[in-house]
Amino acid sequence: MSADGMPLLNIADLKVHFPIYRGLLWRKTMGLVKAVDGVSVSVRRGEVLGLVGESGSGKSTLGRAVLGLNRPCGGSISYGGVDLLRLGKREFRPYRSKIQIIFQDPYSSLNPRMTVYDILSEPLRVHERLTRSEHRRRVSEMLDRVGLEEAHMNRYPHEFSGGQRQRIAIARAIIVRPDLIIADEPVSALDVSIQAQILNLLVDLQQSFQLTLIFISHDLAVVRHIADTVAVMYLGKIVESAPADRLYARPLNPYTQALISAVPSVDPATRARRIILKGQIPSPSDPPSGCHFHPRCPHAVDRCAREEPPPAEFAPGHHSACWFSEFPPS
Amino acid sequence: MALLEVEDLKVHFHTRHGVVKAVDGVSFSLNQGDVLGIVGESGSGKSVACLSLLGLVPSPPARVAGRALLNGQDLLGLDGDRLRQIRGRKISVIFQEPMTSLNPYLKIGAQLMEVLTTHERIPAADARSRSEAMLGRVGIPDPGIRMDQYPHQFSGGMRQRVMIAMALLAKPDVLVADEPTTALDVTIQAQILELIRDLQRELGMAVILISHAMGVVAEMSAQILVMYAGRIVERGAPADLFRKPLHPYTRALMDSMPAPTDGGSAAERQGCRERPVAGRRKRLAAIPGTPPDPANLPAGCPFAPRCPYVLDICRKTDPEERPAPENSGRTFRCHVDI
Repeated sequence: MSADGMPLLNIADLKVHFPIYRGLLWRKTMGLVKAVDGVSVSVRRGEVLGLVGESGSGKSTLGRAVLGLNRPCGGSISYGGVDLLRLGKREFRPYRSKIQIIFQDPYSSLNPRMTVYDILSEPLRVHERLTRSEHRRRVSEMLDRVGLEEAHMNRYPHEFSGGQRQRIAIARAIIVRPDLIIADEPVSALDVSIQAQILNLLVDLQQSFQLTLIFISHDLAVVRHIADTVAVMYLGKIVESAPADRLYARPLNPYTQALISAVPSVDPATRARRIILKGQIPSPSDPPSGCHFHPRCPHAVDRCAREEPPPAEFAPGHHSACWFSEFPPS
Repeated sequence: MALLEVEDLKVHFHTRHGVVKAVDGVSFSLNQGDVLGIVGESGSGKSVACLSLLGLVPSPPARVAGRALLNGQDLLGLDGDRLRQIRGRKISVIFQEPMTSLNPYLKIGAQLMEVLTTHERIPAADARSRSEAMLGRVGIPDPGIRMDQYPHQFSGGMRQRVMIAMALLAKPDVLVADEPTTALDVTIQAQILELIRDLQRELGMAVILISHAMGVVAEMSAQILVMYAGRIVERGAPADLFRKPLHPYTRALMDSMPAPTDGGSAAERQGCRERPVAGRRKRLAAIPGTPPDPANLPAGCPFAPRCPYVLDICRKTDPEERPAPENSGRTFRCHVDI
């Protein structure tokens, strides 16, 4: 877990806005959905960054922006010192094999008409020039690495269980030896007993290939398990980020506190006092003024509705965007 | 006498690939005001068991056997008309998908009022005012306006509140909540669970809460049934299950969950397993393999192929349910004392 030195990925003030159109022929822009609105975060080589938030918080949009799957309208994504947003299609190509993604739903992210061999060799065909036998060797090597067998190579996705399919999706992502993996809710669609298998696999692979991982999830327990650093998103902004242990032990932002307290626990002893938030996450096309969280925040005062709190560092590596986050007594 | 008494319930599907034993000999009883939790993975039979009580599992292909006595009346033998009198009035269901279980063409108000007009001879104005009051009770602001809106104008959490209002309108004796919060965000989940708990206490009804999430069930229920491959493998109070699981599956399930708060997983805190020291990112105690194919269950105990405590006998004979050694009203279904 050596995670020091220069950041591999540095995202600064990233904005991804989607216009809302009205009308068919004379399309008028009616408004903007600010899915990601001024996010800055950096990930060091070999680090696991956990990105948590509820649906609509912009966590997936952020992950997709890094892959070039949507078009940010502001900010920068610097990968090893190169701003990916300034690259043309051709120049971006080499980075496509360096950055890979694992999707949530292993039922829809694998082409049902391709065999496992086709699925795994396609990225090799695109990114590397290999002979046929090398293809086969790499594919069977990778299958073994993710806990599948060589005999599975000629089967189709429907012949596998959800957990096995997710193993195929993971193999497809790492077969081109990427540096950075975006895992977008990779275990959310799986049963509890299978979830642990896939998490263990991801941890093993991350460590043996020294992968940098951005792990996107709504499940705080899963993120706590896998991440070195956790960033909490709310309505397109990062409201708090800190080393995982610290974030769960001493959350500073009221939203993070509520989120952690809302997780149901099996252990009656650790069952925290629940903070029940009122209302729901507002629409990102019409976010509240000031601090986006103020309408639901139990501590909100007038100032929160007027001024947006900037992220501030309260302890080394621990940032929170709230007027009332306090410096914890040491 | 118990409010609901389910005895040896079996739901088998006869298919081309053999007999799928979705539910295979499930018994439980429910008293008035009880909250019973059922946990299990997908395919464990937890939903099918409860839906079959309401005649919501089409038969054929399903063959339902056993007894399910509600106030002494067997639900399993009833015809469609009789069942319709029970559904909604005596037993109500909240489904997982608030997006698909409301009719998109009908106003919320019409869907709510239908519950009352089906079961009671009641003037429309009364049905409307009672529906409106119930919408307000489940925490929907401006219920008068919301009555005249369509489902698409509601968010996921709000739709689930509508579903709850609809389920509770006729004041049922039993509420079946089938994964009521699975499709919802954590903060909304907390709201909905609190609402169900409040209403349960206020109306004194019995609740069967079905979920794959152990945490959700543990927080809500007084008694938990753990299901695996169509049968109940362990039953007990949540604190007991957590402190000392008796069935290897329950134990494995607890161990494989990452802990949301400090102190590591359940097993680590009990000192059953030493806490790994190398690196913070420890391995989870995953359960090997996958749940068995219900059309092709292994001989003996269905958990045997994945069980770390497996003995020879486990592969030959299916264990009977037996009481826990300390005699605390708990039972489990395993040859081994772990």
